[in-house]
Amino acid sequence: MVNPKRYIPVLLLVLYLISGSLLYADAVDSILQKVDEAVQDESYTRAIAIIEEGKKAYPDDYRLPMQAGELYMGRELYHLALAEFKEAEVLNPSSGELLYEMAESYGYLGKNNDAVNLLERLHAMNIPDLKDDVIDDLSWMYFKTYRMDDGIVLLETALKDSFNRNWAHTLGTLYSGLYNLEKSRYWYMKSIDDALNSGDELFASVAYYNLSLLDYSFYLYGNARDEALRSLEIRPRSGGYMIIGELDFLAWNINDAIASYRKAESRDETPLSRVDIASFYQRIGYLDEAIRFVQEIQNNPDDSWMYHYGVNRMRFAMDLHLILADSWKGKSYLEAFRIKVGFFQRFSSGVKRLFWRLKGMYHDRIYRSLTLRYSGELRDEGNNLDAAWNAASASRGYRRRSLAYLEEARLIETELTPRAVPWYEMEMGREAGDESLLINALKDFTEDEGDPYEQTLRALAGRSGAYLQELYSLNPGGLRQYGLSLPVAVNVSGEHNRVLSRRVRRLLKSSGYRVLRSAASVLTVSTGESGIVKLYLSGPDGSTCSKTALKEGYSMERLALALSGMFDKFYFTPLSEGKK
Amino acid sequence: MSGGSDRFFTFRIIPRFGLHLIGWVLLCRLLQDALPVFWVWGAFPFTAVLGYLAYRTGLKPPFAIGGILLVPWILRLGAGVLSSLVFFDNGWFLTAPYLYFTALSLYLVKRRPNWGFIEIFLLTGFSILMPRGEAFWPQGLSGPVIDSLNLLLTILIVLLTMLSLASVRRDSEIRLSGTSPTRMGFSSGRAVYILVFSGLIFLLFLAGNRVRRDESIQSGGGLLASDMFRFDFNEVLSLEPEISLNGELTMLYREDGSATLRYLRRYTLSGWTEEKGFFRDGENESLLDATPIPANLPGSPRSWSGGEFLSRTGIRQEYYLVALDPESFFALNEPVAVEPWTIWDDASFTRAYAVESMVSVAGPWELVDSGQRPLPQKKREYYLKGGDNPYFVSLAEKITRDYNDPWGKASAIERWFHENYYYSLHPGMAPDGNQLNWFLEESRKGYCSYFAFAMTRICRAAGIPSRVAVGFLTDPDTSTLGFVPVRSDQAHAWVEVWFDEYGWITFNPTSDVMAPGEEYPFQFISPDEWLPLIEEVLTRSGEVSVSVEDDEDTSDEGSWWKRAFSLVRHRPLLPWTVGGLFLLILYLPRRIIPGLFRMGLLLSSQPRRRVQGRWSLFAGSLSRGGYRPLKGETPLDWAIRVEAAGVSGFTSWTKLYLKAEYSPHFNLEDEISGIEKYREVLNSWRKAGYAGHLRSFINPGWNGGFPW
Repeated sequence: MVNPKRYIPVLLLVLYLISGSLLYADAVDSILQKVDEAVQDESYTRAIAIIEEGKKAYPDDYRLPMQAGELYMGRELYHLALAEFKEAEVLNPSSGELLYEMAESYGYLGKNNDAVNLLERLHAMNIPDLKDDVIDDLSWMYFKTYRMDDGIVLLETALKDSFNRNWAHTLGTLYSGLYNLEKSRYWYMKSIDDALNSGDELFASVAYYNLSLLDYSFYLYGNARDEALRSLEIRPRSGGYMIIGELDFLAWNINDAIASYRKAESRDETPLSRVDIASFYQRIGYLDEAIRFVQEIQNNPDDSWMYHYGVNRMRFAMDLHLILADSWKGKSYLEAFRIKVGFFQRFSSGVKRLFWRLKGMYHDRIYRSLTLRYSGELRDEGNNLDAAWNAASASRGYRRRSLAYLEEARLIETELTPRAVPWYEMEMGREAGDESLLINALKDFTEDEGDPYEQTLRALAGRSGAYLQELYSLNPGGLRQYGLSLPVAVNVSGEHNRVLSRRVRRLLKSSGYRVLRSAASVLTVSTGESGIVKLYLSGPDGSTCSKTALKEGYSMERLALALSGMFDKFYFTPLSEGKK
Repeated sequence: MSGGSDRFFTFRIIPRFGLHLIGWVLLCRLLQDALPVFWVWGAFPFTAVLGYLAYRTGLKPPFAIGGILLVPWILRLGAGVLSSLVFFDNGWFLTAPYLYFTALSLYLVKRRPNWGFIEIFLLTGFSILMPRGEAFWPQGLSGPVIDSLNLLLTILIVLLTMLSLASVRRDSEIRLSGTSPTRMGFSSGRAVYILVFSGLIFLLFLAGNRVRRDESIQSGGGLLASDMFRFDFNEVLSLEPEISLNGELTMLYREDGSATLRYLRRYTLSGWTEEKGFFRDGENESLLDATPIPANLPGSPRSWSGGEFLSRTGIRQEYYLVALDPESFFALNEPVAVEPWTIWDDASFTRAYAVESMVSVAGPWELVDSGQRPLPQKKREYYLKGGDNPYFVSLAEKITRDYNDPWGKASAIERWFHENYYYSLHPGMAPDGNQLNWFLEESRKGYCSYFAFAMTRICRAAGIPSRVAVGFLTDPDTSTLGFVPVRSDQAHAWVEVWFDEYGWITFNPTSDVMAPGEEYPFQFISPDEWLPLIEEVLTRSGEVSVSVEDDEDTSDEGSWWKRAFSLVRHRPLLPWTVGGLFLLILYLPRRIIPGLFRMGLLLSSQPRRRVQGRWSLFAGSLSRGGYRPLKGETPLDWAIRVEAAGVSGFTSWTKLYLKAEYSPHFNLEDEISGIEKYREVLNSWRKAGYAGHLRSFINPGWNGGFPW
């Protein structure tokens, strides 16, 4: 018979070991609790100090650096957080929770591939508590790294076992990345239905917004607007207003567009709505405002918001540099049209124009460089359509290359939807200088496509006065910044009409305006008996757009000043914000 | 080239090549987002080789220059064929001027040595002016390391410039003399001069520093004063007609708990005289207070009795000074203990310390009843000084007529400013010089100093002991992990009013309503500037220890370096200053001083002196322009040689000069004749070609002196 007393030493040893580890665990738990208390008191340095002391006492416990990492994550200090998580990973490479936090911090820092690697590792570990979140985040990161097929396989497999609306929504996003309209819509609607049934309004609103983006990318503007409105109806969010703004801008309803952009901006915690506003301002000729908006955006370097959006640093920088390039170049052209008198004004104007032109060129080159790099990345990821489109954009002005890329993109996209045809007609017509393509584009654009229509008019404006006039009627501010202006006829009556006529014509011609006998815009100058010189500038429709009077003589300087102001007003695109 | 080989040529070209390379690196870092990688690595060597080959093959200028201009365009055609035109243009259009400049300079280096002066002038200016902030250097380097590297780079640029100038001068000599060189061309004696003279310039620098400080006080609104070495609060509160704001990061402030608006006090300005206004009266304050608070940070921990006031709570604060004088001592009202720290050597901070303060939490219901423990008579009189002015007495009566207690009166005065005055950075100039009256009666707008000054005068006139306090006002919205970045435009002046039993209570009379038509120029500090500082504090907090220094021992060797690092980081004028110093050292001995002397001769009443001055000035220009006198050559021999080289009339003018020098008979007619000869010579010199003129202008004249 076995004597139980023989096992007492063994039992005592086991108890000793267990109690030792329990005590150890207690000590670290106690430290973690103190850290929590310090954080609740908002004594962050005390919390960090406790952790650092704890690390020295218990260097092998991964929970201490992990706690530090979580503390930093909560304060959006992602670099510091990642450093702590890495330290913890060395101590415990198999903690699912730790790896998940690390993946998240990689994501916030824009290191998407590192995030994917970690999430794949986690997925392979198949930790029940984290499974759903891992699938969700991994599929999203597959979208951000353009591994659509991998994401689709992952989610379709997971959805067979159970329905999860986050997965369904991400699956819709993945299909949209592959330009599969039907499947994308199907999964978005499934996720929306589930969200509405569960009362998750925020989710439904976001999903409708993404559905709206999908339809927008397929040129289904009516559907896109309906879905955006539905998104706003469920929960007003900046995204909804932004897409409405973009649809309005696309249709060239510029007052409605700016109103929607402003509403988006008031709710937006990201700079995306301000980028839209900056781009909008540049197109209608508010160049200083556009530059100011972009510079304000660039002054805030925090880009952790990109984690939740399908955009990365490079793409964001591309957009900003494009706006700056067009704005500075536009300012240079505008300065050329400014009416100048005398050597000093001309010299300083020339210097300004050169400086702004160089700035425009600088931003243009950065834009092209970034876009080419982005195009290369897209190509590596297998997204040939976007790669070709971006390469074409980067090669604008280099006819052969640009046309080759455009043709590649056209073949892919028109296969997906014929609604893309007029866009390619516009781009290729512009690049090749092919008038027939451009005219076809004008005919083929729908009523909802006023923006590309306006761009096509500009491409044709140099060839025909009718197109130039139509462009002016749409967007007066979009002429001079691109080097265009309406020809002007000068009618002078009254006293000193010969001198006045000569001066006015000289001033206008020296500033780049075409002075013709008969033209769409008419500058009428008349002197009365009192010696007051009245000037009226009327547009193609005959209405007076601007007028002024000179009471104290009509020297070249005074005339130049008066004419400058009149033409600035003439080429101004008015806005009435807040109409909607 | 003539006669013999120039075996030192390759050595002499190295400094100039080095300058080109530095300029190229700076340009590429600036344009790094736009330039393709192959361009960054390949364009410069290719261009340098192109220029050098053009020189070595001995091509005539039209062919060489034409080739240098055309080759890149030919390559561009090739890029077009290879469908790489966009990549090529991304590099080419942005760097073409610099690359052309490099190639042409290397081609012309021997043919036209004088062009080397232009080359060096442009390269040095370009290198000094190019931004070299944190974005320029590799990521991960700490602030002090970056500052050291910047300083090293500036010194390297200066050295290369000097060596390049010497090499250009040597090349020019060789070309003119037609002889083979027997030495490299840079004298070590000059290096000694430069080192010695640098010390003298440094002293001048310190004097200029004082001027800068005085100017900064004006532009800082009388609150802040800055010079090249320190940035601190002024000890006298002056009222300026206009101030400008600067959003420089001055420190990180930290306290436990949620961030709250805090008044970080630097000084109290208790003293008052009619002439000075309010000023820091350390001497009297220390007499009146049992345990006076020091104005500067003690070297070791200290504590003071808190005065045992009611309704006070202890708050521990931490200060990490960035751009401020390391001795400046900030604290919340009232500090009771300070703990200066010794921090890590390569810290981005000039100083760090902790302070414990007893901060008042007394509410109005408590302060209303104060008065049971009045101030001692002497102290009370001191803090009421200036309160007997009839104007302020009547104003105080008008504002506080409805109140009997000090709290009511002080609050009424504060409210009165809020409701009737505007905030403005442009208070305007008072016609009679009395800015305070102008503010109170006419403009009704001003910045914080005006409000604090006025409220303190009115409080004193109302019989309420009060004083001005200056420091920073924190912005709790910018708090991160409890750290609050403090900018220089947050400098503020407020009022502290004495309440018996409760001590000095803070009042802020400054209006927050902008004057009509004015906008507040909000400053923005990018989080990139202060987040790394927070990271540094958090990760290196284990390296902090409490300082224990003898209070009398003020020689802290480490603090000199810390000041130097702080100076370099926060004074972007430094490259300009170094460049300016360099030019001064270079030009002073042989250009500026002799030039001044010779110009002085022109102003003489004696004709012979005027002739001597005029001739000497012109001869100096000639010498620097490439017509240097040879050893053993007399002035007349030199003049004959120069005239033979194309400067007609110089011989006869030199004879006149020699007459002025040595002959006892020299009169006005001689001078008039001299002026005519001068004009003739000048006309001839002007036609001689502008290369010589340019060289004469740029040449520091180190060997332009005369052997006679």
